[in-house]
Amino acid sequence: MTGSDEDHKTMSDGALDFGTVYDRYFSRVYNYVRYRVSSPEAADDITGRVFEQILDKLASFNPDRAPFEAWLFAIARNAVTDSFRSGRFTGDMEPEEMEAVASSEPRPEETLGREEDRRLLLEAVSGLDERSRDVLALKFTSGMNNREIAAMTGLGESNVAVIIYRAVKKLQTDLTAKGMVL
Amino acid sequence: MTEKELADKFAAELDRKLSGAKGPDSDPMLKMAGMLAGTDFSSDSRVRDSLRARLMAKRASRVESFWSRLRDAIVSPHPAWAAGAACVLVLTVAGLLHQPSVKLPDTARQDETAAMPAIAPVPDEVAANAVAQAVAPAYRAVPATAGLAGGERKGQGGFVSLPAVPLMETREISPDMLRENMTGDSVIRSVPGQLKGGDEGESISWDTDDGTLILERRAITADTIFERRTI
Repeated sequence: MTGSDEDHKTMSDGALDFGTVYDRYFSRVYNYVRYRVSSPEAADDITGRVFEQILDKLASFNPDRAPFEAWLFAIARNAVTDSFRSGRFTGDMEPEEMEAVASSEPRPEETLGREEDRRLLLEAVSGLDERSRDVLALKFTSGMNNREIAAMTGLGESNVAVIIYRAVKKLQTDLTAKGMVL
Repeated sequence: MTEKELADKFAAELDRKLSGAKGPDSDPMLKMAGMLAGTDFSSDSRVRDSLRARLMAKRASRVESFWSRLRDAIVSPHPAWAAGAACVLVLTVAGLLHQPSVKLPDTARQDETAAMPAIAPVPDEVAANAVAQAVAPAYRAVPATAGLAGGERKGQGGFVSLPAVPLMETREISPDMLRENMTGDSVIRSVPGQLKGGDEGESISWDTDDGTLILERRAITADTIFERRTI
């Protein structure tokens, strides 16, 4: 394999390749959706819709038009927006959803600590406005850079940087205030 | 510093961190960013495995359904259906061969590379013998009339492939060769053809009582046949 070949592996649409896409991107898509909607049930539902669409549209993906991740996360983003519009899910975190993040099963102390951190993190993210959540979720799950996020969201690149800066700062302040050690 | 300058500085540091570069991580905001990027909620999913199984089954079912319909159409007694199905088959194969490649990011590439089994080297004798001695004689062994004498295949329906080698040879098609495949009240008459050449290929045209028959040979790409569509 040459150096340039090593820069990017290729794949085409097929049963195996859809499986590869699923295995490689499930966590990232799920995390993106979870940052947007908080609830695990909603995240499962929306992530399922996202991969249904990926299955339907994978053959029509054109790498000349956009990077694969931009294409994939555009589908995820639209699915979240559609779920909000239909009123099926919201980005708000219900109290029972907060509890659902932490398991009722007895766990080691370290695991409990991590689950508490995850709960606090989701709670803090759900306190951001929708646009900030969207940009933040794209930044930390999709692998896209600020320019690509700007192109997808219709914002300016500098604006994206400022939104991320403000959001991270707010999360850091909120979580520190709640006693989380960063 | 203005907020924009702070944001730009943070963006540069964040991109360095997200790209995996090592460095001092004393900035609480960068630690916060690390937590955002590193926390994986996907273990909360209750559908991960079942969704994968369902979608893979759905895809397999679609593929099976497509090929079975195509197969039924190709062996259909109706020539129009069979011809249409054969065209679909050719276009599908061409489309599969011309699938656009997908650029994967480095992180994904590393995951995939790690999951790949080691590839054993091809023994020299296999590389030398399998290609040179098996494939080439198979081409040389194709009879020159293989694409024309279809008598023994009559009544089987469907299509047979024409070997490329005979088409590249200059041969005169005799009336006897045509008569083998004739049905009904067809009449054989010799018509001189006109060979035309050009930059993109060459063609032979025959003027008959019913019209002009043109046989073209030219290089095409999948883009000549297919329209690129993107969502």
